[in-house]
Amino acid sequence: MSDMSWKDLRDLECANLRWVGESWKTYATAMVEQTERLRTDVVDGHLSIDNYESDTADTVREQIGLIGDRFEDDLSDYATIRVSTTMLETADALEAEQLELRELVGLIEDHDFEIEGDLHEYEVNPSAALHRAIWDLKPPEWLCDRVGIDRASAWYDLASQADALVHIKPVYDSAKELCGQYQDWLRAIMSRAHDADDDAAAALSAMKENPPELPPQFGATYDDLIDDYKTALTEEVAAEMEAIANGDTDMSPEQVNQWWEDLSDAEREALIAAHPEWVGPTDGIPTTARDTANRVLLDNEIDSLDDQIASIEAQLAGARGYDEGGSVDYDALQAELAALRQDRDDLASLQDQITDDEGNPATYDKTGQSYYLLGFGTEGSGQAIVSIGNPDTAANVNAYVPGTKADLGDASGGLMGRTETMARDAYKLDPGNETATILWLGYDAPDSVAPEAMQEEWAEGAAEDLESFTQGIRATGGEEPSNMTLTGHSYGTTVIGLAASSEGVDADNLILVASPGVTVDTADALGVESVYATTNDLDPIGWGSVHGADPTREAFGATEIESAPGGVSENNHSTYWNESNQTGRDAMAGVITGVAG
Amino acid sequence: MSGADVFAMEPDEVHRSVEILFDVEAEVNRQTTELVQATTETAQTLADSDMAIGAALAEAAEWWNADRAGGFTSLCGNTGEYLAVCAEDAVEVDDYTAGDFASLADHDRYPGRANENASARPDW
Repeated sequence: MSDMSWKDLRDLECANLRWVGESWKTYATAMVEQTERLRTDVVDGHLSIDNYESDTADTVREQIGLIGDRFEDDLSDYATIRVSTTMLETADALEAEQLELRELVGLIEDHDFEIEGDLHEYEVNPSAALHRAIWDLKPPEWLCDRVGIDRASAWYDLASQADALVHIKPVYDSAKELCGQYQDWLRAIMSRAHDADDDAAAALSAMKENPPELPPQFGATYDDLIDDYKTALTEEVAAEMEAIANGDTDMSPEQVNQWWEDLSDAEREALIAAHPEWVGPTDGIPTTARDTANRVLLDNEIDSLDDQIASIEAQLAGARGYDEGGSVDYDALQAELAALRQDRDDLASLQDQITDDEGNPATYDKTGQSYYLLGFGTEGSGQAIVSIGNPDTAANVNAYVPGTKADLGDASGGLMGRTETMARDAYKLDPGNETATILWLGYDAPDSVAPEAMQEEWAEGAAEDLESFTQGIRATGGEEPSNMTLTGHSYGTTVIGLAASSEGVDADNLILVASPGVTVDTADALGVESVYATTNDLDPIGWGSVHGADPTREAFGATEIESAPGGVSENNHSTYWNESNQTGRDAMAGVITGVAG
Repeated sequence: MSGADVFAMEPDEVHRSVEILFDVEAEVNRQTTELVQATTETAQTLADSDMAIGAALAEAAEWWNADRAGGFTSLCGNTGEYLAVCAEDAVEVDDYTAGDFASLADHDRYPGRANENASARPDW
């Protein structure tokens, strides 16, 4: 577990991590030159059939080929993908946090605050000198400015000192408010740094688990062992994919993508066909492959539900005539049947949404973009990740994270309606550059405002998955990174905020719509370059935030977007994508497309 | 002199193959050792900063050295030694032992091999 202190992070030589990553990459290239020597100079050269011809000679040539292939696979899978990429990704991640930390520490020192407490629960408090200055009625200039009072110019400036005395509580409160913001920011930086460190350590440790066998050496039982080795070789790619999908490798989406790209076309096609359950949900695998796999899974899941429904219906029908002893629990079976029918209907609706009349991927007619299925599930309220447009090739990517009461049924209803509205708005504003708009219901959303949406456990359950999703979009995108936005609505903003501050999200912009709070009190703690917030005047969410400061407050530090409410009789918590808020929608589209709205 | 079931063999060419296999073995060992040493030094500085990646990196580098690169060089050496024996006398791959290398190979040509004095008895 990472126990790095803030001073450790501040003083870390990230260049050393990067140097290790580059060294392993260079080493892997040099080692491939050695295996090439075996092929070129030995197998095809001195030991070619012209110089050495027999069954044994064939075995030796094959053995040398297998040894070289194994080492090249190892160099790719371990030296490059695991060690080199892990070190380079970690260097990038820690360097980003280090830059923020150095900026923050400068601010803390400038304001005469100090960092105290345990490294996992740092506190930022006024220093003794600042306490003394306030009690001496000589608060520093910046603090007087925050409160709106004049600083005493000299010991005889009694008017200003009297003003400071009258305002001593607001002065303290203001200092503590700023301390609180810096504390949130510091904790977020360290949380993301520890997360990056722990993720890297896990990836490096996992590479030693269940590595593929090496070819056997020449000697006793070689003939038997080499047959076993070749058999294992044919199953190796599937075994690796299974380990990746199950999370056993702890590989990042970027590493998964590198692994996938190293496979042959035939290997990829075989995996999609034989194991869509591993390919479909895995971040780092390209969108088209995941879409193909997930559509197969969706068909299979609907068929499976049909079978289960038929089985229960048969049980109920058969039991009606004969179950005089009451051995069948009708209520339980009826409840199970209702749940299965609900799941089946929801999945069928999702399938209809993304499929045209000929059974091909459907196209959203307002933008001409195809729907891509990146994930789905029926656990809890249900999950669905659907993209309008291919995020791997789009110039802009916008992922919409919905909030309380979002469920699988709504994924092809109102939630998809909002997603389509955002896709249309982006297309209208910038038709020359594609924007992929994604509904990310990749978590089990709260079912009720109270008590569930008052709790953070739903966001905690989503944080790692949202982090991984954004990293996956980056990994499968082109060389030119897309302009990526996460747009949260209501509790969806809490999900985004918690993920961004604790794990880190790889996004350029956050748009926080109708937020009940994002678990931190300052936009700086979110670790994303641009943060926007909007709440209309008639939205009841504005009456009080639950999960930290209201992001539309000026002190939070987000850029506010104006949103117009609907009619007074409407539920104005849910009118942000209505026509009545075209101004707000245009502004959001401006952020999402990178075009001033 | 011939290898097992040999229809044709140019012993000098086989010897050249052995030399390349041994050279690849040595070169990979050398570069891997250098890399692992440098990596371990960096890993220690990271561990000194209480970073989880420090110990994990050191262990990963050592595992790579011993198990994967080490496995590869061991196979290169084993194949080279087998060929060195084949260039002198017939032996099937299943019957081969390090003792064959000790007793049959040309040690003037391949001095300093660890198996130069290996026993024909299997190392159980």
